[in-house]
Amino acid sequence: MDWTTGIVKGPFSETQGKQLVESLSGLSAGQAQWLSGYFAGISPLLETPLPAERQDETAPSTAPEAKPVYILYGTHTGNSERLAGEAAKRIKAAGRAVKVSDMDSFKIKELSDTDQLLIIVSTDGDGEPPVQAEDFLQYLQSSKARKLDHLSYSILALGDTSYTYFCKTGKDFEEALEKLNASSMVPRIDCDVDFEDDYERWIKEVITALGQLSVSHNGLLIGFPGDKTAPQDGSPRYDRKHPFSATVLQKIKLNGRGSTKETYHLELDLGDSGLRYEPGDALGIYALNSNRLVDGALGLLQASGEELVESYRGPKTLKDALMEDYELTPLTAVSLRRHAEITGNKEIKEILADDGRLKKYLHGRDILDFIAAYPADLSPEIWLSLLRKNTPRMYSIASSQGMVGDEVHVLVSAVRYSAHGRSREGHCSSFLADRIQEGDQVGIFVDPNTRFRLPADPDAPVIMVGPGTGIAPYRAFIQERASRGDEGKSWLFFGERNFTTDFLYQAEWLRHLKEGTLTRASVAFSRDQREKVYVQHKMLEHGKELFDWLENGAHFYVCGDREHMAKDVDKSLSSIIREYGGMSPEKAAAYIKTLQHSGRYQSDVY
Amino acid sequence: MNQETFAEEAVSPEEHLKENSNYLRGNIEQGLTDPLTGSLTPDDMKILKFHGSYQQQDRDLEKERKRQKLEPLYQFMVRVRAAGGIVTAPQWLLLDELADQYGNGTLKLTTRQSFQFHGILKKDLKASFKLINDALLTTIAACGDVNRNVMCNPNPYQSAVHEEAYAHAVRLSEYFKPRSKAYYEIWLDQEKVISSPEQEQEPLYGRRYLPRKFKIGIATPPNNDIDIFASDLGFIVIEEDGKLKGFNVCAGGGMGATFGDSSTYPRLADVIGFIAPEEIIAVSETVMAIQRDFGDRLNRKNARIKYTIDRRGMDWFVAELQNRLGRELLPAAPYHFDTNGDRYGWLQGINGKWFYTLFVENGRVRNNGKRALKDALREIARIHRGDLRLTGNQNLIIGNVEAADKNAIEDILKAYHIADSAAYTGLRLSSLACVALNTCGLAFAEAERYLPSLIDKLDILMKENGLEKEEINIRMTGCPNGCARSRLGEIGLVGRTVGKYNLYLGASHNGDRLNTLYKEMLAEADILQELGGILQRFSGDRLAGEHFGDFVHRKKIV
Repeated sequence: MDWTTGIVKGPFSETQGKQLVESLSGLSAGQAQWLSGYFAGISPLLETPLPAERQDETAPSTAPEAKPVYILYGTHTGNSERLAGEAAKRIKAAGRAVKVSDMDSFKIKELSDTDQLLIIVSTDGDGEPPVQAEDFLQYLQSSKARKLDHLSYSILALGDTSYTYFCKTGKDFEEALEKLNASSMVPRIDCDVDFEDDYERWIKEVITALGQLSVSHNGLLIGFPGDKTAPQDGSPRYDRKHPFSATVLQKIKLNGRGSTKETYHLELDLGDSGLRYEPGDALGIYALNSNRLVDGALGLLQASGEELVESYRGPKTLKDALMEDYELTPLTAVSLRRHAEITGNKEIKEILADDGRLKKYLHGRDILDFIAAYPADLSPEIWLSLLRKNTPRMYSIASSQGMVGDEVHVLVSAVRYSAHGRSREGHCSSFLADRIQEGDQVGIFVDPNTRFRLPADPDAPVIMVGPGTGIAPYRAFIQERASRGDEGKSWLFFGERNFTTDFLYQAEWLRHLKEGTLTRASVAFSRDQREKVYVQHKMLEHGKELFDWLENGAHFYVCGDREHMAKDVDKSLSSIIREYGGMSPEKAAAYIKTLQHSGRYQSDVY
Repeated sequence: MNQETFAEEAVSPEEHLKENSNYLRGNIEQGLTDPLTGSLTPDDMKILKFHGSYQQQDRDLEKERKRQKLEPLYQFMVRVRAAGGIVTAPQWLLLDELADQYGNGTLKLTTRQSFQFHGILKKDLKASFKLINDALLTTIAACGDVNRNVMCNPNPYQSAVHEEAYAHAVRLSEYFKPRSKAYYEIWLDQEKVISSPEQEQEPLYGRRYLPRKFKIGIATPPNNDIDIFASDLGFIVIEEDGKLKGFNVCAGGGMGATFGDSSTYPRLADVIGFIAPEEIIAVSETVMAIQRDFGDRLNRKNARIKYTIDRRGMDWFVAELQNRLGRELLPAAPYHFDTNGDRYGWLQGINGKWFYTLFVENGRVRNNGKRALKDALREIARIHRGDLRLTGNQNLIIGNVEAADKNAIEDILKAYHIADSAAYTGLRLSSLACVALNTCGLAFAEAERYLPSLIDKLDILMKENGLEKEEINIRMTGCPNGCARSRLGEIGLVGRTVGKYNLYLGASHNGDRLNTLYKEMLAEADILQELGGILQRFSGDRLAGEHFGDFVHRKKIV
């Protein structure tokens, strides 16, 4: 087909068509490709790019492949967004026009004019979609959703195997799209927290499926560092796959004597790594397992540890592989599944078949419990294949480079508990708390979180709710604002157990208050009085002012515990808006939604 | 001079602070509810003293908490005053409980017959004050630029005269309490006074109160257990035919000094005359008014009455006093003090009841392993039908015990391994130490936490020289402000820096002569070496009945 036919039949007036044919004649393939990317890029800026009536016409789409590939992302921490951007570049480089949008901004009616849809979506803790994806998923699942026979799609689902409902949102999208008769372009891929390899596999398959397009890497691509084609464009040399060994400059237990908590402040030297981060970003840290756990595992495997094995990182002794390359603390469904596949163990299969039972079984158990409970005569390598790869843990960064330069600070709460007759500890928090000293090195990388950012407007007020280690990013926020001389007001809500011992960074907050870089602070110490008081109570106590702040454009942040705190804070926020805004529950919900969609209600919860 | 009209004279910031505090209110009430800090503002900390509390911090944790990015562990010392240091058994029980509930689990019996609680957090301060007042005790004016706790021999039943002296102490104590209602509003939630200044005047103190603290004591010879000459104003009981004839008045005492500032020094009060018993309030009020009007309000280091007197001369002072009184003081009557120490063990009072003076090392009531003094005293207070009395030497008298109850009390002491005074050396029984580290903000060195172990070592020297029963006053303070009256010790140790002390020798055994600097900046080994030699000479060369303090003078050691 002659390319001009497409334009003539396209949504243009005769004059427009002529002009376009004239203008486009004689373009090189490269120029045409550039324009395609250009239009994809500016399309969100154009008001109603296609006349509405055109969409209802049944004129055959003469060049379906000419329609841009639509990439929609639903992100919580910004990973999906980052991957969507990366995927767009790859597809464009491969010669196809691409549109990228977060699911919130995406207009449903565009679906009817989209032939190829890529979805990159993460799953929140207990199988819930990220806020950004809620509405779109709900629409697809609803009875009013239109059939999508014309649509082919592929889904990259991001998740964490340590949660029961691993990648559930991706699965939910798949299910909804299938019901609407959309066809799968490339099978869905579910990624664990170390998603790079899976993403790479997925995007390659997608590009192949999109057809006639080469998968060649060229200079436009942002490959993952370590690729032969590592970028020269200022992207970090260090990342998840290539962590930087940062020296621990300071390690301080912040809780005073007699505290029931154990929270560490770590200052790491970024040296000449060139690593940069923004307030709101997280720091990924790789932990090594404790001798206690490694020896325990070796004991259960009846191995000396000297056995040479092939880890995914190459050959090494079993002991080193257990220490460095795998995790021994969290037990995930993946381990059970692999075990069942290999051994056919009926009991494990039964557990796997029952979500409730699975969840209960996984709770509080680690890999050692599992190996002990289901011994099997397997080679060390097979055993290793049951284990989760050593996965970095993310800590909200507690510093601003405007203040600390080539350092990065994090706040770590040591996780210790006792379950099933043994004392347990967090994989990384115990590593940092117990096995790392000042002067030691730890493998780190920066994990950007574009969904948790200071307002672009330096004068915008911020309300920061962060009990416990949730206070970390606000230290970064306030450092950033102080170092820039921003004048926006700020209000911190902090909570912990006891005032005397657990007021994290107290001296710094007092200084900021004195210097005006923090406007006010409200604190709740749950165990200083008979009745438990938490941050959400402090919000309610100052509800009127809090609402006034919101009305004056304040951005609202919540960071910390997802399970209880963030929900309670959300409830308080909602009740404050109802009470002081005189709103119905529906209106208050809409108010909150508007805050969320405009980026004025951001959360970093875990 | 009209107290309410101040000339434009230069005064210290503290004077403005007091003046603008709205009769001791400041912003204490708001400060108490600030949840972000365990501290009050620096201004309110000063006003708080008048209410009977000092803000302090745990200095042991200072560096550690700074590194932890926590503010210092702010805490409050709360001082309970009771004239002559007398409380009932039920009151003791409440104080005992307060120490556990809000304080650091101990009680400190002070050298001025007060109770001190340490380690009370700001959030518990109001509840602590309330509990103390519920026990019908108070903290008001236990500190601050006012008349503080009035000292008096704590055993009024030694003689009829003792009883009268005690009654006068109570009168003085009540009479000179600040009139401001701030205390009752802030701590006891009493209705706020609608401030018409006329309603709430301080007829004596005025809006600025005194230039500095003011201490009054009454001593009954031959016991100078309250160290009368360390007082700003002292009354020495003069007895005639078993009756109180009147008092010798002495003025101008004070222990405090600052290293390196020669304008400051300890000074003993001078006896200036004799008054009849009924004159005691008028004379006290006049002396305080003179100090109010002429005391140095620019430099707090020179603001005690001792400096006012030295600056203008004692003759001027006596003339001013007589002028204001409208009559002359009579010549002082003869008197004699034997000792400024306590007499331990049982003593029968004139009312037939028994009084047991218990040695409390450095006044610290606490449980120390098996030796559970705090538990023992609680147990005693539960069965005790009498009272408990604090001495000026940080000891405790279990008072007004029925003869029938003596055994029960002894049994309890034994059960909790509280040794009889006979088990201690004379040196330890004559020791005093202030609180110092870790709570006192002024301390340069340890005192209370260190002196017991130093005495362990000195006791060996004493024993070697056959002096284990010899009562030599040894007093240690962490700084030269002298809460434990270190400059009245036959052996005085004053902290210079952690681990180093100035050694002073030669105070009299009855508190009428200060000691003299012997050597500076001594570490423990130096102290032991120096004292070892002198004690050996003392053992060999002393005259019969000669006290150590007199010996070092006779031998010109100082």
